[in-house]
Amino acid sequence: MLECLEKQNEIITLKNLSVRYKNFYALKDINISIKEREVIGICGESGSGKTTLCKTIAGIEKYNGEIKFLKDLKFEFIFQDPTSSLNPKMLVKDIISEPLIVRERITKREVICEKIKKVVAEVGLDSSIIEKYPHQISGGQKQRVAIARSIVCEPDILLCDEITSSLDISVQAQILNLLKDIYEKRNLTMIFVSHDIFALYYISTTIIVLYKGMILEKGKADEVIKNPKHPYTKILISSILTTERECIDIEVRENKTKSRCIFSDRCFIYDKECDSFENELINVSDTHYARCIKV
Amino acid sequence: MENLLEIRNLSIDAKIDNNFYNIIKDIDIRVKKGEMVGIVGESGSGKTITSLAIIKLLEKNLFIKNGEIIFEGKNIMELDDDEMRKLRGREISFVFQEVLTALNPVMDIETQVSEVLIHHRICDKERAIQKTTKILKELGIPLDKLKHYPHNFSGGQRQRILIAISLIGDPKLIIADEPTTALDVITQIEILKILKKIKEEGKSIILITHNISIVRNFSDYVYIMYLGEIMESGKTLDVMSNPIHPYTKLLLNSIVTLEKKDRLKPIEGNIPSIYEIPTGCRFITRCPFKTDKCIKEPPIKNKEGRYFRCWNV
Repeated sequence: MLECLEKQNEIITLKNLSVRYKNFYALKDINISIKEREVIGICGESGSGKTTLCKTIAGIEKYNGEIKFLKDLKFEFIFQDPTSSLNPKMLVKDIISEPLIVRERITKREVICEKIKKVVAEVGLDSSIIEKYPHQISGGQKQRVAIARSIVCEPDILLCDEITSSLDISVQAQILNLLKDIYEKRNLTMIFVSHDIFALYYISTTIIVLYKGMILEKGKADEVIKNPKHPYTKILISSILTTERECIDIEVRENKTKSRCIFSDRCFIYDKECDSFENELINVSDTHYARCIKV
Repeated sequence: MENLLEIRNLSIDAKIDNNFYNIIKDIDIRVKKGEMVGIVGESGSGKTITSLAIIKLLEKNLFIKNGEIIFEGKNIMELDDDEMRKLRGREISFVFQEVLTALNPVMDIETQVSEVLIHHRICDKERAIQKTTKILKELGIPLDKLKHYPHNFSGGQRQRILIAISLIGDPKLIIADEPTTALDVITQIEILKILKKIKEEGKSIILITHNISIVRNFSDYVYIMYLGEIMESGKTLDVMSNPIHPYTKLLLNSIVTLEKKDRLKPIEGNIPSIYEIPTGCRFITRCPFKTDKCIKEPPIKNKEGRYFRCWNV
């Protein structure tokens, strides 16, 4: 899958993108090119700019810099909390058909019914669910409804913002499998935001690590997870708890630094050399970058 | 080792619209001195209700049907409100789930932490402030921020402040309900390490979480709950390396790891709501190994220190 990706066309490029709220940069110096059929996984801690990046790409956030669409693209969003993203006063069938009516301006009832029936089956729900209200169904089912709503208009790009975070563990795997099926079946490009590295690794082809609004590391999923270069990514990956191994001891330092490196105050390999760092992304390989002088 | 806390045969009913629904069924939990006990379960498993029953803070529509909770030889059920108030914070303390709402937003943190000591008349105000300063320093809160309000602190720091509040009365048992759920992975580890250190200093901890990996790494003993029942219990490493109950097996199997990238194996179906709790084995609606026997209530079996509730293993 990865090999064929390289030959594929870029469909979106972000150049020198930044988002600023007064004096605070929520995103800074973001350069990404998104290719067709790519799944971009974005991880980082809270406040790192994951959601802002997602929103900016979808065009619902003011930004400086350049976003270039090289093709006519249709976006859809799936949100974190299915309970608050579905209107409690609407039946499931109305929720799913709303984008068809509002966006596609389809008026024929038979066409709408047919489309609803098709996506409800595709997301693995029973057809009886369309006559129910959101409060009558479980969290996992709600997230399936949200996914059905997002694919009913046949989008080109799906933006998924922490879509498994509020679900139970046994249901998370169901939703991830479903998302992968939809990706394989439809001609989709995805942006998948999550703080859960497991989910990210399972679904993504490319991984971007954000920290304080900047990209600290970017590369193919295997490169970033199996061979992380930035100290922050290393800490992030070793601090994940699993059921299979003992917890690895990690060191988080508190340095007093004047370095321009944004991670230098917590970095465990910080030394004098870092003070001369220009805080730029450095190539590790053709596809792998890290913002660290020591790579 | 001696049992500090013993829950025997506890059942709790919820009263909704004049109907009773059984949300906790016949559970047995033991906590020894200096032990970290993990209670793992998904939503609706009853892990939080169980912990609230221990400190008698159940909602008014929840009723204890049978069972007893013995803390240091005293039956908590027989204590009145005054006696309970003396117990809470001093003998048993609680670290609540939501870091954002558990702290009082209009009280500085020094006052909030020392309040426990002053309320319980453990010491005078001056001494209380001294103790507060010491404990917050140990937990890594900068001392120049003692007069600050909760909104000045990050999520991880707020959680440390909550831990300080639970520790300062020098209790014997600390119940931590999802203490790291809203935190980032790196902060999560730091908080869990603090709890581990507290345990190693001789306190008992009940760690309630939906995250089985946390339990794997930090607790000594584990109870796996599903829909108000304990499906399996045992020493953590035994349960993780050799799960007996189908639910535990499937749960461990459904977790995404960094080692395998083929298809995930989720547990099919959804967790039933409390209105549709099945009779017999409560996992029957999702269990691929179910047989005709399973419509009857499964017996609790005991094998080499492991307890589990299943007909077929």
